Amino acid sequence: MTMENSETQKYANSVSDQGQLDPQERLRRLREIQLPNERKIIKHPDFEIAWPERVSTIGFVVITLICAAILFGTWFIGKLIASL
Amino acid sequence: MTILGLNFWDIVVVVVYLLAITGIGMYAAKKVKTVGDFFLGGRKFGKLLTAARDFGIGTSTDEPVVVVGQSYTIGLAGVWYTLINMVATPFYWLIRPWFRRMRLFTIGDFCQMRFGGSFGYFYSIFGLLLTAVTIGLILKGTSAAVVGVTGSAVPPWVVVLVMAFLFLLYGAAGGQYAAVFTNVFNAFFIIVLSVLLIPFCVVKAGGFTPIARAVNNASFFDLFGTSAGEVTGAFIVVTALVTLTAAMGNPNVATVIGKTEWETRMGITHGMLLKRFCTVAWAFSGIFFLALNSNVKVPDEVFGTAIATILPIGLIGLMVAAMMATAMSCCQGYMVIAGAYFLENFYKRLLAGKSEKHYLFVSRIASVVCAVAGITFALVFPTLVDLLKYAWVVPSFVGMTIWASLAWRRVNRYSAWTTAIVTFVTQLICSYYFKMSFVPMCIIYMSVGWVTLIVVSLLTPREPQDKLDEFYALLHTPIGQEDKLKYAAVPILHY
Repeated sequence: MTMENSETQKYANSVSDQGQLDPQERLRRLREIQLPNERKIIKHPDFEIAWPERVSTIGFVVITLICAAILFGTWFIGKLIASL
Repeated sequence: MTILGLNFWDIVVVVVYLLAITGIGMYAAKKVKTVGDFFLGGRKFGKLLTAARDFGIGTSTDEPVVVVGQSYTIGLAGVWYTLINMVATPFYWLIRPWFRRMRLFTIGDFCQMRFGGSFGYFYSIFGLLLTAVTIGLILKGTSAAVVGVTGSAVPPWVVVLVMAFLFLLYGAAGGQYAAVFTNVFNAFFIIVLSVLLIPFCVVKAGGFTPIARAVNNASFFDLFGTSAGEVTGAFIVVTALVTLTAAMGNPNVATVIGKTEWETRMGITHGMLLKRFCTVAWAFSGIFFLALNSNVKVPDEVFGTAIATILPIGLIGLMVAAMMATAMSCCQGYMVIAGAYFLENFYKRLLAGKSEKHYLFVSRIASVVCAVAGITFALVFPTLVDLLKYAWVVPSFVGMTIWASLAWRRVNRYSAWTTAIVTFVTQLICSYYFKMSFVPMCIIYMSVGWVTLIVVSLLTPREPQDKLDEFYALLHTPIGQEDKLKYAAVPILHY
């Protein structure tokens, strides 16, 4: 069993309804599932910006490049026709 | 034989196409069993269907009408009236999965969850109004184009009412399923519609060189707006910032239908990139048509006139049908979203515990009522460009708060309210009292809004800790790891 699976299993074994949990225990569990500090870009309790996953970063860059290519292509075709 | 300004065979094509779309929409109704099916298609859609839906709902006939008209009037820079949204496209890759993770129906739910009841209600009213205006904008643009094609033989209100009747018919029955299925059918025709004028214009003009000579103005082909008109470098940069901010305040941003985050982000980015290619084709269509006919006085009628005078019989009908069907699918998608706002953010809070069948019935009625409001807007609003700018600006009043609330715990109901009111009032004062043009008005109201948001957030009490923890737990927990949320008893609105 991988580490991630064992962690998921841990949560699955302790599934609760709001009414069943002691308020203090619920707060503790809420804290437990928050974004860990080491995964934050700004390591301050008031900020919640996570480091993007690899797929997010690569996708963002690729789509930005495609958008730039569309702009360049439009500009180039315009210039080409104007020069005729 | 000519009927209502169209050839008999064009009329046949229009009728067959519209009936086919209505039939597909009605067929989709069979799949709707629950409120979740009606609003989100049960979130069962893969990449292709999600992309088709996002392409369809994001591409409406008013946009080619505006872009073709503006390119015809001011040159290639007219493309920016729609291409400006391209700045937001890479961000959709990031932000759509966030909304999928929030596991909600609408931005109204988001505001309710993050800022509590009053701001949630406020945004829901705002979302309903904005959705109605969007429906109005789409119907108005489409009717202007069809009127242009028929040489004003059909009054715009007749076009609006025919489209309204058909999309209300299948929309109220088929909900999101109907929107998705009809958009898949339409997507192909939107692309055809976007590029069809170009080859016919080029052939009729005798090639690209005669077009360049007929236009006889090199700056007309400049993408960055050195020709006459308001589209300058400053306009492009400022409007890009406004639309990026507004992207978060848009009523449909949270209505995601993909199975997982992957389908959601692939769908939106492919749909939007496809739209950008279409947008470029619209702009060149406007310029090429100018080389053939420079006598159209009203920009909103250029697209329709170009179709009527350039395309052969049969294809004119296909263009009219595709324009109308695209508008119908788009409006129908928005009316479903409006139904979600009403049901989730008002009705269920007032009348909880009713049966699913009851809520489904109310959803359908609410969708129809909002669509009727949009139809009314279409019949009374001024020109399209005015409406389009209005649609850019208004969501940004809330958009900046939503952006900030995703990253900063200090943003609270007080700063949300104050920012929305202050930006709205500042925008009104700049526009109507000081009569500022678009760019300085945007710079001032956006700056005032961000400063207000930061200052008020720092000076007022935080939201309750447990509510914030619930919110950020949802935001940071990927789809498929719901046990983690259940472990801490975090309420989930819709998987």
